[in-house]
Amino acid sequence: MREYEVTIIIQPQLEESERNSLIEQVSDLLVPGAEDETKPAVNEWGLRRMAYPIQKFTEGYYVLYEGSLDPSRITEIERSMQYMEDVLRYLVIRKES
Amino acid sequence: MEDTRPTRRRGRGRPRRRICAFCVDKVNTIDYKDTEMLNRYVNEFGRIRPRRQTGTCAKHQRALAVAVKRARHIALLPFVAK
Repeated sequence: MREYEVTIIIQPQLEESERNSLIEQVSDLLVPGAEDETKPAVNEWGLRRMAYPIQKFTEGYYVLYEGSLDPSRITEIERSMQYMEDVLRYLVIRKES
Repeated sequence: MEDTRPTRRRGRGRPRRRICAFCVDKVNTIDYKDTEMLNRYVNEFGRIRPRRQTGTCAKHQRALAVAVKRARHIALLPFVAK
C-alpha cells in the first residue's frame, strides 16, 4: 500500500448534482482494495481557468484526492478514468515520503 | 595583427546567483500544485529556466522539471505561452 495523490479535471458545464455524483464515483474507485475500502480525502478546488484549452473548454473543475492505494490497481484506476467522458484530465502521483 | 579572440565575458549579464532556493528551505518534494512557485522557474514562453539563471542545484532542478511537467499535464502551467 502506498500513498497516492490523484488530481482530476471535470468538464465545467456539468450540472452540480451530476458533478457531485462523479466526484463520489471516483472516490469509490480510489479505495486501497476490495477488503479495505477507506475513502480518500477529497479536496475540491472548484472551477479554475486552465493554462490551455482542453476539449475546447477553457475552465475546469479541479478535484484532488489523497489516500493510499495498492500499486497493482493503478492501471485499472487509470483505465476507468480514461473512460469517464466528463473527466478532462487526470493525474496519479505517488507521494514521496 | 589584430586580436580577434572574443573579449572576456566576465561581469556581463545577469550576476551569478549560486544559492539554490530549495536547499535553503530544505525542500524535499517540489509540489506540482504550487503554481505561484513554479511560475518563477519558467520563462515568459513557459519554458523551464536553466540552472544557470535560477541557481537551482542539480538535484532540485531535476525534481523541479518533473513538477513543471506534471503541472503542465493538468493545465496548471502552459506548454507554450505567448
